[in-house]
Amino acid sequence: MASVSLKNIHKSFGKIEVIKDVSLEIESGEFVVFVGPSGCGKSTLLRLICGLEEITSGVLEIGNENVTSLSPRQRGIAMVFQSYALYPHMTVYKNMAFGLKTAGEDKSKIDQKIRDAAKVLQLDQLLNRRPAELSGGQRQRVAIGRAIVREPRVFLFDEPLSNLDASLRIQMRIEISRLHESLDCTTIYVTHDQVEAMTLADKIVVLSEGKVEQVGTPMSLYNEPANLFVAKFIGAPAMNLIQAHTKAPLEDNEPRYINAEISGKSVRLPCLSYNYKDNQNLTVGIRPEHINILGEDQKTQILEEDLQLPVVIDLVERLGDVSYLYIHMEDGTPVVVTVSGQSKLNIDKKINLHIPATKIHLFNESGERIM
Amino acid sequence: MFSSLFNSSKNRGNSAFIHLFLLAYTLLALFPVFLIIINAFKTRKGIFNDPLALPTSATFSTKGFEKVMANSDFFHYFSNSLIITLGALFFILLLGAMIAWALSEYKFFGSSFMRFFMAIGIIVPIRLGSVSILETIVSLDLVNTKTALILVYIAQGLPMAVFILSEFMAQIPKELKEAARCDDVSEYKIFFQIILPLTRPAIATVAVFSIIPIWNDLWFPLILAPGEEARTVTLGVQQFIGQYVTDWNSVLASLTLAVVPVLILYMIFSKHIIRGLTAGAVK
Ligand SMILES: Nc1ncnc2c1ncn2[C@@H]1O[C@H](COP(=O)(O)OP(=O)(O)O)[C@@H](O)[C@H]1O
Ligand SMILES: [Mg+2]
Repeated sequence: MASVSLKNIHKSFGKIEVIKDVSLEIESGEFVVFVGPSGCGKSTLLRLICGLEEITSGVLEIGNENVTSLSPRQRGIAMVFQSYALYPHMTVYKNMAFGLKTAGEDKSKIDQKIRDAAKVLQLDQLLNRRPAELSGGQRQRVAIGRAIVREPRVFLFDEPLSNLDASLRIQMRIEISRLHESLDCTTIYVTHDQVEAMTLADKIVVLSEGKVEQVGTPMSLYNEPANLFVAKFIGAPAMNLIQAHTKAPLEDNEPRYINAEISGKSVRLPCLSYNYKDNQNLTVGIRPEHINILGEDQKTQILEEDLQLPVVIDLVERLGDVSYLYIHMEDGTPVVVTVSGQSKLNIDKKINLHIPATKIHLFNESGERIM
Repeated sequence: MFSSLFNSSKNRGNSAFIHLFLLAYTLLALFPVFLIIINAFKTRKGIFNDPLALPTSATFSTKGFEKVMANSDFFHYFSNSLIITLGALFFILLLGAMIAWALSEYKFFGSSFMRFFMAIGIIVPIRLGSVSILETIVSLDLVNTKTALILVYIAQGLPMAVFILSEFMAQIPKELKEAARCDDVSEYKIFFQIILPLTRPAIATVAVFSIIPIWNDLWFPLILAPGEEARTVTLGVQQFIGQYVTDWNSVLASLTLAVVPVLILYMIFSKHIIRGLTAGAVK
């Protein structure tokens, strides 16, 4: 178990800079998830930590020891690859023993370790099989087992579940979570799936185009996304984003609000502090489950600064426990509303949306959060 | 590659044609071997009266084999050939695999020159260098030794071996060696315990390609080791072929015997070749 610290890490392949100035502190025992769209550099960052790629500039420390120029062998890490990377000509047992024998450990001790890991991962019956004779989930377990037996200081996972089908993925996700609880080992986990990130992580690192967009607990990213990118990426269905722009008069005496116009309507938006001018673009964000439908929910309390928008329903999806209403506003902006239960509303029905001011996220022109 | 061609129903007619063609070619290629073997079991008279006839009770004779067996030199030649072929083969495969791995895995000073150098070895026939090879062997004082032949055959076989093996090694998923590196496995162990086992089908292919020209070669034994000590079978057979009289019984019998070890080696390696060709399809 060890902490990991990245200080101003850069990585270029030739002239293309793939990782741009990433700094990050990972505490000992923490489960950190790197999440971001495909091609944003998650795997590259993981491979830099692993030592499979050379760091172009910056400092990497594992357990307060500078490992920037050490080889993967010397870093005390174990990596689980997306493709599992099991040795095809060796049995499950040999796959797990291969790295240990090299380390020159005592035979009976190795055997004990492998049998313990096999028991935890339900591989006891499969120790004499070859990878080709295993299912995807079993291969994944062997790959994890191979990492566990090495007792690394840091576990690295690169999209370990992306080759599994949906139900198996959920099952393995829970197993990985449980495994982390019991091993309590520092873990860095890469995924493009925000659900995996939200459910597994102590701390999520959202990456985009080689830069860190935000670092925080799953709930802090959900409740307070630092910018538009994170707002769009975290949460399903994604946060609704509505264009607005500031409008005179500027109310100097009431700095908590700014006047704006949304789809032709004048509104007052709550705002922490915003040094604004007239006619600046803003983005209003609201999560689908925070939008109420007037007349549907009796308990809705409407405050003076809340938004109310008349709209028409385009499409209704009912999943049983929730329903999604697909709507577009007068200016064409699409909006999704989540309502619990099986909605009785139908296509083409005119409704009034109620957006509570306290649930609004406000982003300035460059996409940063201002509320 | 071919198996998929044969399996698809669309190409069944096509595949019958290909089979027919290959069968015809096989017959053509095997005919001389067949002639040698049937005539090895005939009397001298039988050979000359009707070379194409199978041995009958009248013409059957194992005189050639008896003569060859009685001639202790023959076993000496035979073991020379075997030692030279297997010795050269061992080093071609070992060094070839190592060079192929080095060239496909590591960037080092001169690696691209090395690759170019190996490519030239494929293009230029080694016999063009016979004169300088002879000079080198003479100056090393290795004339009439098996070592000389083994060295030359290693040089002859290496370029093709490196070419085939490095192509094959490039297809091994890079995650395997990366996983091993993370697992603190040494580079030697990665090569010998992961790369070599996974390259086995290609190694078998190279082995088969390399054995035959070495076993059959007459040129280098003739110029580098004509002496009694290191004489090979192909050269040894020449003693039965005289300027005026040729002992055909013995020639054919020794040639028949000379086929046997190649056949055995081929059978050992071909099992792996076939496995190699189907490995990708079955996966
Ligand atoms: N070895 C490499 N050489 C050149 N470019 C690379 C290499 N590895 C990755 N890249 C580039 O770096 C970017 C990030 O890749 P990667 O880290 O694999 O993304 P992710 O894992 O987030 O999908 C991609 O644009 C990819 O093309
Ligand atoms: Mg990736």
